[in-house]
Formats: sequence, structure tokens, C-alpha cells
Amino acid sequence: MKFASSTNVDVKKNVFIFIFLSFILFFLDRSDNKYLKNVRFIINDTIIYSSVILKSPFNFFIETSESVTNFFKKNDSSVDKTKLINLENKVETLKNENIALKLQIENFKKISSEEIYKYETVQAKVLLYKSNILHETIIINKGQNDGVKAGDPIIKNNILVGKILKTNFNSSHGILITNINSRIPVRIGKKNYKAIVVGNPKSERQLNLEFLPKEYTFEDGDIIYTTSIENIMPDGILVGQIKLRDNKNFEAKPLYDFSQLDYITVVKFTK
Amino acid sequence: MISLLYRYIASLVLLITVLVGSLNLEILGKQISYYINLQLILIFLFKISNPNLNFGKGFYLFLISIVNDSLNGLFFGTSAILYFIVFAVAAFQSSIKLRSIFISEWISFGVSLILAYLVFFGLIKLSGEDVILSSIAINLVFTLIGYPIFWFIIVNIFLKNVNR
Repeated sequence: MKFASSTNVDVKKNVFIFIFLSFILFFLDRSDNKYLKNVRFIINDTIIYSSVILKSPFNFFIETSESVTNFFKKNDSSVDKTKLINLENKVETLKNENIALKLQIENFKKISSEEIYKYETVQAKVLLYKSNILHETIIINKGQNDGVKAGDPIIKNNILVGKILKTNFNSSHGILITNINSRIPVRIGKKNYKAIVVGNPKSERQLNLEFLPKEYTFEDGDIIYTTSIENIMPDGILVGQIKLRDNKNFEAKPLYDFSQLDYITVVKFTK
Repeated sequence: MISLLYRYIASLVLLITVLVGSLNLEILGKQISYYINLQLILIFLFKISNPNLNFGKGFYLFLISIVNDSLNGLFFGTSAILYFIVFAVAAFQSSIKLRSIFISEWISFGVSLILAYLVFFGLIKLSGEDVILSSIAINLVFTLIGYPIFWFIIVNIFLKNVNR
């Protein structure tokens, strides 16, 4: 490779050194070395919290411009919109809680002899939301120090929205269930068909169901909820719903609108 | 003085784009970073427009890539490899040119993107993750299409003021 001038020979050397260094760093980071992990946690926490502070002026600017735009918008109804949204959210939460509890009662009746899991939860704030070409990730303000572990389910309004991908000391990365790399064991409908939910690469408002039994029959509105096969997930968290197109064709849709993730709950999945 | 400032501005602008990439500025339900890789455009453009620019002998570029990896949940080193591939192609292109020809620069940017994304694809597969190829293709195409816009802004507006 030829570079502009003799002063740039150093740069040429550095480019190759840094590419080599990056490959080493990549393979070191992939390895599960305990000491390297701790270094990574510290670096990640520092970068994440610095980034939150540094981007706050930008966020302030966006929020201010949004509120100014909303102020000048004609608002015919006298009802406060935020109050209405809060109430809607509350109703939705109660509705889903009701469905989840009903399903759990049904399941406990069926599997009363099996062991029951005790769930502790932790409330977390979504610090950053990233949708890049690889995944849709969220970064939350709770990590290993709060007892959060990789694989723990993330819920909002009693609906599963994702799971923890990586943890740091005081922050964690989570992926949404609409991601193709997220795999969640589920049960579907009254017949409790077992399957694995993965994100649909073509549409983020749809889920794919893998490993469904060949002889499945769904009813419109069948609920999808998690199952505790191999202790990957706690049993009975709402995931989505089946919408029938015709006799055999169906759509599996997530129940939560992922654009409104501000505060979430992490279920500490311990036996 | 301005040239010195410009050297740091390039790194600063790059760092800001990495940080701003996590703002909720969405188009069709996806953040802008889903469609366009602004960092790769900027690295190429800054280097091609100022061959003496070396991002602190590559050190700043490496640090910025670590920030990007951390925020995106990628293994450390992933972004650095991409950045340095684009940087190397830009350095090569700026060394062989006698005068600035937009089309040849654009083509070499396309080549560097293809190279970078091929390596990125390999690294992600090595990480054991699935990649949606159409997402990579969308990002590649929009980044390539976005190049002339940023070329116009940086070369025609920003650099004219710097060289004045």
C-alpha cells in the first residue's frame, strides 16, 4: 500500500498495528476470562454513563422542541393527554395482569406437583435505545450489582419485551423479543403448544414461531406466554397473541408497543 | 492554528456522531444509525480531504471505536476494524490521486464499505449471532448514497473555510 508522504509512513504502520490490536481485543473480549470481564464492565459502565450525561443537552433540545411543537398544536379536547395515556397504560396493565394470572392459575392447576419459582423483580430505567443493523438493544441502569444476570426476562406492563443480553456492574444491555437473536421458549393457546419465539427479520411487529408441532390448530386471539422449559424463562409471562389469517395461516404479534420503553422491570430469574 | 483545530474537530465530530447515534431520532420506526453509517462516511471524507489528518496517529479513532462498541453491545475491536479498513482505503486513495475526482473517490468509498462490511459480517458470525443480510445491504446502500451529501457539506463548505 502506498501512502501520501514519508510523514505518513507512521500512520501506515499504525493502521496495521491498530487492526492487529483490534483483532486481539475482539478475541480477548469473546473469551470468558474473569479478569478481562471486570475490565470490560468498568469500561462499559464509564462509557454508558458518560454518554448519558453528554447526550443530555441533545435530549433536552429534542424534548424542548417537541413540547414547543405540541404547545402550538391545536388541542380541541380538554382532557390532559399524558393523564389519558397513563390511564390507558394502567388499564392495559390490569388487563394483562388479569390474563396472566388466569393463565398461571390454569397452569398451576395442571402442574401443581411441579416446583414453583419465586421471582424477585427490579425496576430499571432505559438509559439508551439503539436500533442498529445488528440488533435493537436497550441499555438499562441496573447491572450485576443489582443482581441482574444475562438471560433475565425484561417485562413492561406484565408483558415480556426482551431479555438481558450482557451485564456490566451498574448497567446492562437487553435485546427485544423482536430481535432475530432473541429465542424465547413459549406455550401457545389452550392446547399449550410448545414453540420458540424468535424475531421476524421482515417485520418488527411480528414474531416467528419455530419448532411448532406439525399438527397445530390455533384459534384467533390465542395467547402466547413463556414456558419454563430447561429453566430458561419463568413460566406464564405474556408474550404475544395469535391473529388468524385463514385456517392454517396465522400471525404472531407482540403485545407491547416497543416505542414506549422508558421504565422496565427485570425479573430476577432464580429458582 | 485552524489546521491544528481541524485535526481535533474531525475526531470530535466523529465522537459526537457516535454519541448522538443513540438519540431517538427515528425514520420509519428505526433510528438513523440503522440506515446510515455516518462514522464511516466521516472517516473517509476527513481523510480524503486532508491527507495529513491521522486522528492522533489512529489512537483517537481507536478510542472512538471502543465507545461505539460499548454503546452498541458489540465485542471490543469490532468497530475499530471497520474504521481502520475505511481509513486505510482513504489513505491509499489520497496518496495516489493528483487532484480530487469525486467519482473515483466515491467508487473507492464503495469498495472500502464492501470490504468493511464483509469483515463485519465475518466478525458477527464469529460472535455466534445471526445477521439480517437485508439490514446490512440497506445500510451499505444508504451510506453509499449519503456520501455525496456529506461530501458537499464537508468539502465545499467546511473545508473552504478551513483553507481560507
